[in-house]
Amino acid sequence: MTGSDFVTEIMKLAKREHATQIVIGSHCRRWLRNPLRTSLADALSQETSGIGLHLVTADDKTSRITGRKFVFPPLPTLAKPFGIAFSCVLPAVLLGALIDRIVYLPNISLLFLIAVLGAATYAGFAAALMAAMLSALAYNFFFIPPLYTFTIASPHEVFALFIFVVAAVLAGSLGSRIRDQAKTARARAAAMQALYDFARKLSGTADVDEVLWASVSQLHAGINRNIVLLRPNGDTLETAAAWPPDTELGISEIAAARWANSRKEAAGAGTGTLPNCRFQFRPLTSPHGVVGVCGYEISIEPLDSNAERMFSAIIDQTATAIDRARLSSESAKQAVRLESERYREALLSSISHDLRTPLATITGAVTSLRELGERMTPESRDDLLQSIEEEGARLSRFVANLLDMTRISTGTLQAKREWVDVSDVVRSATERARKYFPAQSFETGIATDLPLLRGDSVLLEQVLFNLLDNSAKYGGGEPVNIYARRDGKELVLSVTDQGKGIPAVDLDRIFEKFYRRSKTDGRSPGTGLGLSIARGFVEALGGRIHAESPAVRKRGTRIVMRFPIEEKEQTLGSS
Amino acid sequence: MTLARILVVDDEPQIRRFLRPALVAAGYDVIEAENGTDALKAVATAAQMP
Repeated sequence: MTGSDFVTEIMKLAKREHATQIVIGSHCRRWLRNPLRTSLADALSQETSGIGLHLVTADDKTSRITGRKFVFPPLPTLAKPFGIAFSCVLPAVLLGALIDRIVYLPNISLLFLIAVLGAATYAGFAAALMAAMLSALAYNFFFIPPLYTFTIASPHEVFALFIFVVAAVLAGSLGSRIRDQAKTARARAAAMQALYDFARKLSGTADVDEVLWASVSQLHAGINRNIVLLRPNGDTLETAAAWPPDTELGISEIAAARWANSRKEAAGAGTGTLPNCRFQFRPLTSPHGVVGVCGYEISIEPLDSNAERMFSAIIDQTATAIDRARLSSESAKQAVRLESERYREALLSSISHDLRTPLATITGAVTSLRELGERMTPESRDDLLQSIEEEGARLSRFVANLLDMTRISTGTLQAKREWVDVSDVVRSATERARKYFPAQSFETGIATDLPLLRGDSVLLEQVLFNLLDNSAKYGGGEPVNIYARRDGKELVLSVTDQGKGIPAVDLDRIFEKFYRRSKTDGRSPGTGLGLSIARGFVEALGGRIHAESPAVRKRGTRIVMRFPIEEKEQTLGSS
Repeated sequence: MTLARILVVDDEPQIRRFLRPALVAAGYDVIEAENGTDALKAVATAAQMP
């Protein structure tokens, strides 16, 4: 506890904790030393009602041994307050002499009172006491007749000097007490600030290791002891972080740590359990149980109340932060699980639709040909054969897409890094698309200053083909335009259709796996994989892809890809 | 000669594509529809015809 009034603070604590008994220790001869002072026990006994008060007195022998004896402080420690007292009183003397020259001031002693207060607020009680004594001497010497002697002529001056000394000592003690309180308040504010900074640091991290290291360094800085943090790993406790980092624990320390972990109570040095080790261990208790153990080295003495409070606050925050980090990593895992589940469902539904239709078509066509082929016209037979061919191709494209998708999502996709002539790629992709969609018109526009691109021509062609495939399906039969041009340090490749377009809300979603806008419209048998694969490939090539809609005359969709151009560039002739 | 008239309803054009010649070869008269609305319309139109 920190406070100026012991009794009030003790009563506050007792009420807060619902204490029913208070035990205090006391010297039986206290009144001999300080007859004016009310003892703590007396003061408490007037305040407590309904709380048992136990007074434990030490007998004389032990009190002589354990009681603190008054030792005169060594001279160097007195030199500083004396210097301050002197430098406070000297100006008072000079100022007093100056005023005395000019006007007659009967209460010149008040100047010395100011000097005493100054010494009290600046350097505490010892300085104030010395300043009071110096002031009394100086006042006597310089201002009380006969002047410049330490003798006093009139009796009332003796009395006035006595009053002055009493007033000066009282003022000094009050002043120094205010100073001490301000000091305490500042120290507490600094401690609070440190804790607040620590809390903010912890709230910014979701990584258990970071939390642990932040915590040990904070503990080390806060209580200035060696710190070790242990975390359960399976059945054992392992050192997870320590300051200094090479701290080694002995067998008894580990035993104490395990005790603290399993019994949820302090163990080790300074406690009743395994007191013979160097460290004291405290459990890190979070709302979901003990998440670890924190030990600090007890070098000479246990922590004082301030350090203890700081220690408890830090380990509480650490426990909460570890707990939160654990929860957030669990929820991240859960999200991944959900995502892969969603992926699997989408894959299944896609497979069931996109594999079954071509398979049903092929099977149906083959059966019809076998059983009824003789009665069909040659045109019908040709058409059935052609549909078998087409559906077979569609199946093989679908399977290829699935394989591509798997390569992308398992991260086994390796893009080559060769110089690629984009105009060649555009031409071959367009030719392939024209073969698949003979009725569709594809128009290309390739800039003449197109640089070579560092990448993988096979991947790039696959991307372009997927986009052309898409625009042929959704482009409503209108011409599809492919443009390639240079834009600063980027090569821009775009495919524009003049179909219905895509609503703004869906523009980003079209690159998701198995996303399909018009689900089973029959006319456009898509797998929902094309754009997703395109994005995977473009990213593997170091580029970006996005969709714009409407693209032309309030209709249509434009898919734009941008690839970085590497510096060693060669301009290519027109194609 | 025509045995009966069959309405084929399927949203996949490829399915209709192989069903039609097969049913025609088996001697049926075939009409097609892509969805429920078209199917009902086709039935109504067919009912008016003799």
